Amino acid sequence: MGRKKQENVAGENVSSNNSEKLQNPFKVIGHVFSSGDILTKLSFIILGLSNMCRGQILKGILYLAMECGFFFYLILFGGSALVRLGSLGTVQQSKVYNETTGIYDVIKGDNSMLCLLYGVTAAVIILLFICIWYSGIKSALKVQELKRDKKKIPSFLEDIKDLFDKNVHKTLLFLPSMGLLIFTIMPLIFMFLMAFTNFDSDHQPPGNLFSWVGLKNFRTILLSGEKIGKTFWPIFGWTLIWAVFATFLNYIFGMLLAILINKKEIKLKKLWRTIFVLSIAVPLFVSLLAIHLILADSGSLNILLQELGFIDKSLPFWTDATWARVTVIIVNLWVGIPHTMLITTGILMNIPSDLYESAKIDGAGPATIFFKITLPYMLFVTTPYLITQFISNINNFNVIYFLSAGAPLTVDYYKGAGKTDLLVTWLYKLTVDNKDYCYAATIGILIFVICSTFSLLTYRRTNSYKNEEGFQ
Amino acid sequence: MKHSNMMEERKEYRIIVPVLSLLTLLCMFLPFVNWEAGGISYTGFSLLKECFGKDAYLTNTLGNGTVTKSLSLYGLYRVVLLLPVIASVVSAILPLAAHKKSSYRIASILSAVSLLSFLVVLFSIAKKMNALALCGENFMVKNLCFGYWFALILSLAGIVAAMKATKTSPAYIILITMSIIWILPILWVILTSFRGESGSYTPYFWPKSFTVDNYVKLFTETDQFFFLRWFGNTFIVAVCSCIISTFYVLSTAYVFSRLRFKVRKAFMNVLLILGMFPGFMSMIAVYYILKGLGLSQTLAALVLVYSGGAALTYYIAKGFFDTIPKALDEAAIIDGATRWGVFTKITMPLSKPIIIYTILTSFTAPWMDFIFAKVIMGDNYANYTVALGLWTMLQKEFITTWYTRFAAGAVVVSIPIALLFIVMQKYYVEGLSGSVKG
Amino acid sequence: MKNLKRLTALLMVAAMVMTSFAACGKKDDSDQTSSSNAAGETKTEATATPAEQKETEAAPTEEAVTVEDVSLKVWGPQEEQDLLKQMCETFNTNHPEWNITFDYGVVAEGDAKNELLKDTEAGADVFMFASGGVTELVAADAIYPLTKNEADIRAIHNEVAVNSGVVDGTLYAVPFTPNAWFMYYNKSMYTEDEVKSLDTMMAKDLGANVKNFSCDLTNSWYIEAFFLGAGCKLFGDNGTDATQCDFNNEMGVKVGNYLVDLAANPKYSEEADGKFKEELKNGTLAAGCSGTWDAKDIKEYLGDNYAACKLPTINIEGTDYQLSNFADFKSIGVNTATKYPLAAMALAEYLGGEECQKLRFEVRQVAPTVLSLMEDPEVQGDPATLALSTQTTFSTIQPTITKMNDYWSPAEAFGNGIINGEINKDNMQEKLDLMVSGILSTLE
Repeated sequence: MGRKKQENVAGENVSSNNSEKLQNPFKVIGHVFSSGDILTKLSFIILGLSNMCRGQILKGILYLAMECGFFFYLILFGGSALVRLGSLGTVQQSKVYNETTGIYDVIKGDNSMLCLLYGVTAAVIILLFICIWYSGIKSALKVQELKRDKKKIPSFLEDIKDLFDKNVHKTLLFLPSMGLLIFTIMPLIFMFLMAFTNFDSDHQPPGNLFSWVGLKNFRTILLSGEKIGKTFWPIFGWTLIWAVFATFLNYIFGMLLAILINKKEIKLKKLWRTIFVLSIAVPLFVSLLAIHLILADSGSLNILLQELGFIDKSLPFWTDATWARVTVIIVNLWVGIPHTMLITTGILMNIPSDLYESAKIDGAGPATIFFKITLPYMLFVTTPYLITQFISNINNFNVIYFLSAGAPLTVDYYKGAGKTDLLVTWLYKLTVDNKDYCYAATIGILIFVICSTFSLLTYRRTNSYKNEEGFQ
Repeated sequence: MKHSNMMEERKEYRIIVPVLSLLTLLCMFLPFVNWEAGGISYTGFSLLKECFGKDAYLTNTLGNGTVTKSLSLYGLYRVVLLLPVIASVVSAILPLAAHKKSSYRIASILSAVSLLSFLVVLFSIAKKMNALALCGENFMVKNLCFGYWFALILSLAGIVAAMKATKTSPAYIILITMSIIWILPILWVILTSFRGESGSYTPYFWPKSFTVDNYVKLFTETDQFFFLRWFGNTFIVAVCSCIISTFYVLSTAYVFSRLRFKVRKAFMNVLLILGMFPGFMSMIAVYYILKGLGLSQTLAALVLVYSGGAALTYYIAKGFFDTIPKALDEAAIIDGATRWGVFTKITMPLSKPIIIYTILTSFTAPWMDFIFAKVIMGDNYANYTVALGLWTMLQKEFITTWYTRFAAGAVVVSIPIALLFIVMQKYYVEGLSGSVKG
Repeated sequence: MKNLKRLTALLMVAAMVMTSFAACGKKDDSDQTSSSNAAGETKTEATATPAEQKETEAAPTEEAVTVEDVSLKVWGPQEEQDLLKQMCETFNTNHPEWNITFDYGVVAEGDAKNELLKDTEAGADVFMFASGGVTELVAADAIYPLTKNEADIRAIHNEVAVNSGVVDGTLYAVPFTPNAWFMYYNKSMYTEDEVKSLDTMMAKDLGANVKNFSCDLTNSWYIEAFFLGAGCKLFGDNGTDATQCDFNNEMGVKVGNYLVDLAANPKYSEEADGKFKEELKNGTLAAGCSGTWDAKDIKEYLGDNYAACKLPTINIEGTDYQLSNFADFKSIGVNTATKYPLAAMALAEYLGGEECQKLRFEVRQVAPTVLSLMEDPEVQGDPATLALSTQTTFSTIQPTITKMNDYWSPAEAFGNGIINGEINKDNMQEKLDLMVSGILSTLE
């Protein structure tokens, strides 16, 4: 309720015809059933009947078509896919020797991964249909009520026009949601479920089946003393440290740089900004590869320092764990400062200059101005941005993978994990290099839990900040 | 305006700058190098004399027996130690001769030159020094003594003083240094792309020979790598996914910013949560889904994948839309426009910055990604994107011949993106600043 | 009344709609059907006799003169594509009983295994891959056992090569070139005798700025040469026992200490990112380890000083041990998901046979594995090929059991530890134990 009032205060449009409250769907179904007449009740089974019989012919046919299509799918594929989802395949691929041809004949079996995928697809399609069914029965009741109240029943064309006006949110959101559904949500459900199977490098299709194992993977990674368990916690710790350093160092230095360029005395501001922006333009894996080679054991920097006589042996930028970690954080400054600089520049330009002038008149030095005016203002405005950055740094795959590939590797860690690996890069290695999909999925879920906990904790706080319009 | 070149005030700099320059010169008479164990001690000038006494060039024997010449340290030092001397003298005389802005400008440049020269001494090649028995085995930074350090600091002070005299902020020094650091890796890539010698690893920074051959070969030698074709592929994918992504992001952001409907909050939370999963966790699933749709190994598949998750980044655009006053919308609706009309005719034109920002980010993404491209393309070599192709050039079998061409390819890829960034810089900044508030 | 009429109209429409959906549905889900068909037919498959297998086209009757239409997808790396096309067309001409349409895909040998496992249905029928991946492919049942002409294949290739494709006694792949490494060296810096022993090499003083030897110890494909050469065993005597690895026994500790000394030796250069080739070029390195893929470049860099030989021996406490690296072979395999297994197997045998190997050697200087070709004077005249062939006689066959996949990472981490100094003589036993436990560990 408080939120609603806040939005009104900010002058946002409250659309009158759609109520904000989400009604309990079961209550709605019950309501439709009880207050509907025979046609509406029949619409529960033959979708669109009510619409068709009361004048909305086209709409009714559409609903019916979707229902038929759904049942068609269910009978042909969906049913068996769902069943197989439970068992994840029962027959393994086998070979039988054929005397006449002199070779083995391959008898195909079930592919557990495809069983899982098709099962998920079936479940999603069923869910989608349930939504369509729900909207269908609601519209059945609505048409009935309109007819009863002798109000005008909107024709199909009018419904379409509505899609561009009152219901434009449906139109505009349709394609993006479809994209999301197919390419983000479904794969996500698939991988999510994979965490509860034992689909790892020993269970590769088509020759092997895998099956559900419940929470076993979580137990192994989090609690057991196995190597993989001993690897998870250190990597997790390093991920958090990295995210903290990366976010805040980038932010502070980016802001300082922005302030520097913004100073009145500096000319050619655009030039300076362009130079820094250039480093974003080069593809990340190229520039990071360049840096990796420069800092390698026999890269330009080490050779230079050795020939200078500063050092005898190469500096172990990538081979010593602590060095590697510090190097990665410092190089990330190179990557991230241009971004934060650009963002803070825009905001800096918005700080009213009379604040600065009055401070100068009062005799404040540059440090005081920074700490008392600039910094608080910036922090206030960019807190959501900082939080988002922190979360995306937890998932910052590119910098770590292309820069150090997780080096240095160590025998203490599971398979290919290294000391600068984040949870994401370790996940990638488990997926692509080791094909331990189930563990990768488990780690993915754990990453999600971490990120969502963090954002839940912090977004609540910032919402309360938003009320402080009277900051200045 | 007439006397803009003459400076009435800051007369004290007329004294300060020459004094600093003379002091720098003086330091050359102080001990520069001191290695007690070897009994070697040079002052700046004696070091200079020593260098003039030895050869300027070295001969090297390569692995295949050929003999080449390269500049020896002596040759380098002749220049490096002479420059500060000349620079100090001139910058000492100039301000005394003419108290003009230009003379201070020149003085600051000269001081910078001597600073750089001293830095070169700092970064001198000790091993070569050893081999030539200039100072024995361990000529290290440790052996540089106070004469040298004073000279270094004084030349730095000279720069600062001269800059202050012309009222240029010394902050420029920091900016220049940082710019150099930022440009360095890029410079390295560009230099490598013009490098004449093949091979991946080089212990030196500046190439020994330059050639445009790498660029030529990149485009003409197509039996192994179809660079031009891949460039075209990536361009098409980038343009298409850019259009689709922009539409998705803008629609989603507009809807959440302006409209209120039942499932709005739920939807926003769902999108937020979805954004927290690492993207490539589901690569295999995406591959099979595409296969089921009949699109595997096509460019269309790539376009769909890159733009599919676009709606997740709606919050930046939403923040920007939130800053557009609602009164505009309301006025239009009162005048009879549909919401769709408001979206296309009012909101979009006003949001040029954020549109450009969205276009920029979604255009650049396909150029840099090779993880998804590899999974989806599989064995369809002709349909590779340029990032994947570049990555393949780094494989063990090709890296020696193709490394410099890889750098050339990287430069070619960066040019359009860099141009876009530079041209759109203003919009980019505006768009981000407006959005971050929200 | 009106409602009843509407009801009947509705049912007719419904019938129409259903049929139209049937038409669209088939198109959209056709790919789904084909794979779920395969899954759905298990019930019938399991009870049918093998001879009545669904894919009847897969069994061409060779006695009849009927020409069968066959389509084969072939994978090879990009540099092989032209040759591949040529060889496949020749094969087609040689087999009039099949009318083959080829579909070529570009997949590097190192990637072939992963590409195939990603999607066996869409994978090639015949593919070129690195034999080290054969165990994973067998475990996933993605590669076809070559039973038809097994005796012939075994006869023409050298034994080590053939065994690289044998898992549990069955032959799965036809080898066509060794993939192992040996040593290149600068003739003007070392004599032929000196390169026989690593200790002699390291002891020679070649000047202040010249390093004597370079190797890639952080690469688990190189470091094993030291352990295996000294007699330690990975996975038992035949490389088949997944519970045995004695790299951490007494001998292993001595080898580890030897490696620590080698890494600390200022005349040793650890290879990374192709550095050793530059060093050879600049005359700052005397010998480095690599394979035939670098032959062309190193020949260019060293010019007249170009030479190659088998790996040297190392001396531990008075005894000489010959470095023995893994022998891996690039091979040709057949996909179990192929619809034309007989044709595919015949093609695989041909592509790995004498004619094609000779052609490959002539065009791309690729070393052969066929016994008769190894005696060929032309082949013997190329130093790299000769070195490779000689070294492979001392090599240990890379174990082909599934557990082999668990060897790479721990060994690489161990190599890293030696180079960065984390592992030294004091903690050698402990680190070796960690490495071995990493290799042998199972996740239950």
